[in-house]
Amino acid sequence: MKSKLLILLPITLFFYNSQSIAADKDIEHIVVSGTKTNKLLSNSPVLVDVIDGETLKAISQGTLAKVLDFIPGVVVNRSVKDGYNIQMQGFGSKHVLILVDGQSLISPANSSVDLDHISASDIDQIEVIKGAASVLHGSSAMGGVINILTKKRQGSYASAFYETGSYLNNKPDTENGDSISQLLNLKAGTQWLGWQHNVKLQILKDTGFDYDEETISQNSAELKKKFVQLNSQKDIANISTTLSYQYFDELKTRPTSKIPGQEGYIYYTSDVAQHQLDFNLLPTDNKWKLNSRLIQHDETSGQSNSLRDTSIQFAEVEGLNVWQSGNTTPKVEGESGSETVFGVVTKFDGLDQIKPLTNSIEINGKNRHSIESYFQYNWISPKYQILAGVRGQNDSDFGFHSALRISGMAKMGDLENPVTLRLGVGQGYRVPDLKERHYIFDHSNLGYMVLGDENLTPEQANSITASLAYASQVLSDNADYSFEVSTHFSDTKDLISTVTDIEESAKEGLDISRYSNIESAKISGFDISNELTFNQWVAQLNYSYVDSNDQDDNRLGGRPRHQVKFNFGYDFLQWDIESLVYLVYQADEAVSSNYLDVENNAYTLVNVTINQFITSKLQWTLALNNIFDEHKSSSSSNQRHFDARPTSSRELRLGIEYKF
Amino acid sequence: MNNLYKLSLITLALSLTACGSSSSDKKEEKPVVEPPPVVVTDTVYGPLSTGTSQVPEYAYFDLDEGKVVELTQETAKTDTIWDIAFRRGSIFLNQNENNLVSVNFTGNNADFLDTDGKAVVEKFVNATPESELEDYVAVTHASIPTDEESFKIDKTEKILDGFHNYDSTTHLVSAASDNFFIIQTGSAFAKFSVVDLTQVFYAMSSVTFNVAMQAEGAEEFGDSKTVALDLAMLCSDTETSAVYVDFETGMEVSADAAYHVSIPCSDANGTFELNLHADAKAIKDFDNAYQGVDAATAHYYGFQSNEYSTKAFDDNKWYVYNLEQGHKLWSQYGVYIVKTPTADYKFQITSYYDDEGNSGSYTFRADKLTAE
Repeated sequence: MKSKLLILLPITLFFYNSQSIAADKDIEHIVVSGTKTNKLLSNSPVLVDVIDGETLKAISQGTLAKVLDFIPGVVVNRSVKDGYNIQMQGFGSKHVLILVDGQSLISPANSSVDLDHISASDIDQIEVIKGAASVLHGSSAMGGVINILTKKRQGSYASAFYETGSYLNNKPDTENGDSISQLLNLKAGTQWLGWQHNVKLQILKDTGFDYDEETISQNSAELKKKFVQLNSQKDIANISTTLSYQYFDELKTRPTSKIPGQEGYIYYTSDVAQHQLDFNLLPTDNKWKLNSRLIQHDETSGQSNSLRDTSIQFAEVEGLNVWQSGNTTPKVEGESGSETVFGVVTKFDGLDQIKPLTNSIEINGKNRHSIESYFQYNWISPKYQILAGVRGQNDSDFGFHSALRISGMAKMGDLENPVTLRLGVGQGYRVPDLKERHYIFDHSNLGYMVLGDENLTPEQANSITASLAYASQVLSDNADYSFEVSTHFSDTKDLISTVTDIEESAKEGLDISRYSNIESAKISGFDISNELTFNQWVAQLNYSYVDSNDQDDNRLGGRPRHQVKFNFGYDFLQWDIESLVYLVYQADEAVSSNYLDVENNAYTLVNVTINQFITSKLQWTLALNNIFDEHKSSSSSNQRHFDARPTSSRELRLGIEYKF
Repeated sequence: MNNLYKLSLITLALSLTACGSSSSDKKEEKPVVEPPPVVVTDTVYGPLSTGTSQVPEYAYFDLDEGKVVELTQETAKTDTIWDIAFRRGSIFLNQNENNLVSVNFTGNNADFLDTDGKAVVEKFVNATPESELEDYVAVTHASIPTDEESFKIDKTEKILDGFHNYDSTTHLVSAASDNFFIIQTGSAFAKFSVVDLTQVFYAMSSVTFNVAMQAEGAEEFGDSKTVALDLAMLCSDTETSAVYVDFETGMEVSADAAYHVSIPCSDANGTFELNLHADAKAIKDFDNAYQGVDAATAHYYGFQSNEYSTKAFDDNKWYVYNLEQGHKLWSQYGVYIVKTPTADYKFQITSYYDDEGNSGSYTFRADKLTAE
């Protein structure tokens, strides 16, 4: 790993020596995720990383999966359901809360949100909070929060974007013979009857890829997705009233095996239809807000000879009020103010799962509901802030649970060279989901069963985070440099995992596993981030280290210990070209003892995107992903060899956008 | 399969055609040539469903008639029609004394497993019913072993058998003190052997166990202790049908207590028989290999109930599981010879799936072996 770092640093220094123009002053981001109130990034008492929507647009390929791979410290994994999950600061996907516009999503993929089910169209910015944030955001925010904020467009507009791509050197045997992937984005908006109406349509077809034509199994699924988004907004009595609807469907198919002794194949398939309805009220003074969301998710998925019908219902209503006193943006010594936030959230989850072939009920119409409230106080002075909060959740399943957190921020240095120290100590938790409580997964024909446990209690974490940020102008004020180092430590307990039920196994003569609050773990690490910005180019170099061990001092599986993310963006002003090279290096993942050997445990992905504005209305994009074609070997899975590399292979994409 | 079958049909068709031609030439009174007998070399049965994973069922099959026999599990015990039965991945042979069925494995496709006994993945994955027909056809009446010992039957055995030695010459019985047994009751375990016994004709008047307990949560057996029983005294009451023993306390207990073993009484003594409590399971540890049992993985030790069946097909499993990590059963296309009291049949399983990929659906070849 060190050698890779040493290679990257000279790259940065090389551009340091190149001719540069005085850097523009960045317009500072306003963030909302740290306190649920609007704050300048530099004034947020909670460390928030922000990724700008324009940067993300360049690398997006329709959904969030690709986008989050760009974010420092975030590990994106392909899930068993051919979707994508994340890890952050050593926590798995169950313990990182993903929000869209501040509101929760459903978790159909093994208690985790599937990033491939979230459209990346029209992202304004992504805010990342690393470390426990359950006090403000509730369950699952043990390892942090990723909040995707979408653009709020006004006026009349329309645009069309079409992109086509192909996995190079791979020849998937698709149903219709397509060898190219396609992405179509249509957006339009207008004012009508005093309302702003927006409509978006996104259609995505991906061929999938297959490294070895000789094998029946395909490495990635052929898929089709469609997002339809309708949104209407109007200010009524100084209250922004928004009604949004999204329809999403997806069809995936991937041959996995021949049927032993038969001529046909077994496929992994997933057929999803999802409806989402949001209703939001926000006054112009931002003193209160009311958000509500309804989701109905229906899915038929699994191996073609073992399909399951799953129905998920989700409802959430959140209301919060903000009280401010004094000067909440003090500039002069002696001034101070405070901000108090009180919110109430009520949620409903419902889950049905059945195996139609055998009429086996795996989860029988189970549901649960909860009411949560949180209180947060923020004292603000020009140099110091204190943020303290508490949350209580009363759940129909397991009763009451609470969490506390206190954070502080101290500003040092001067205006030209600010130094910001942030410290946070608090608790995170995740409530057991309906599957973990009620699952009946019967594979007794193969000698095993997995059962839920209604007596599960919430998983818990006590965590501490600290960060130091420094910014300065360098190179005779021609460039901005920022440096940030942050550390984290979490002590988790009551983590839910499956364990063998000895007595039941003996009684039934099967290997019967049951979800239990059994594991604990200690997770620690640090992130270092450097950014150098000229007016024509920007370079970022980030390194993350994570150490995570369970109660037996064994490393938690699937977590890479080292991650480097580097990106370099350069604008060719004379040709109106924006270019971006970004690199992801990951190494030393904890390997499960289930593997017989290790084929690869360190890899580097390099991606390039180029975007040129031909006119103010017309632009084209070119992306070459995974330039060095680092992907899992075709034989590793069959031979039970560990291969940390991603599934996706080298891919070329070409797109064009026209704004009407 | 299809090729030979088609070949047979073509042969039959050609013969009939020839026959038809000859009929038009009757006036010439040529001798009628009898068509050669059509030998169907592979009769395919199935798919036979064995129920769902939650409700597994037995499929009983009569090889003589080549059809499924509708039976319940209870009626099957006394039925003499069925020969072979299927339930999920297991194959059973009729144990009824009036239709005792046995099986011999011909040993084909040995190269599907390597020298360590591990599956050679590509052999299994690339094999098809067509490619493995040749092995099936090659088995003829001449392949039937003359040695009866080559045929195995399903047996019902008792897990605690083997606690004593019997000398068939002297008819003396002695304790097999090196033959250890481990009993599982929930998450606790008891390891014992019979270290002494007193023979009275065909019964025991006393027995002494050496017992070591592994309490719930413990990882190893504790110190051993002896539990001695005066069976002559305990069985003296004619109304006492058995003596029940709790190894934990080392005491005789009542029949409704959580005992470990019971010894049936007969003629005021104990019989040479040990039985387990209905909720307990046990393994034989005749090599004295276990100094403790890992409770979390106890399921893999092979604990059995008091009476258990050993299946002849388990000696040469017809499948391997989870090749390519797909939780599927792949046939080795082994050819077996199944012997019934009236005939010998060759038998080859070609698939555990129907054409939709639904598991538990057997397709197999079976043909009577007749002398040429």
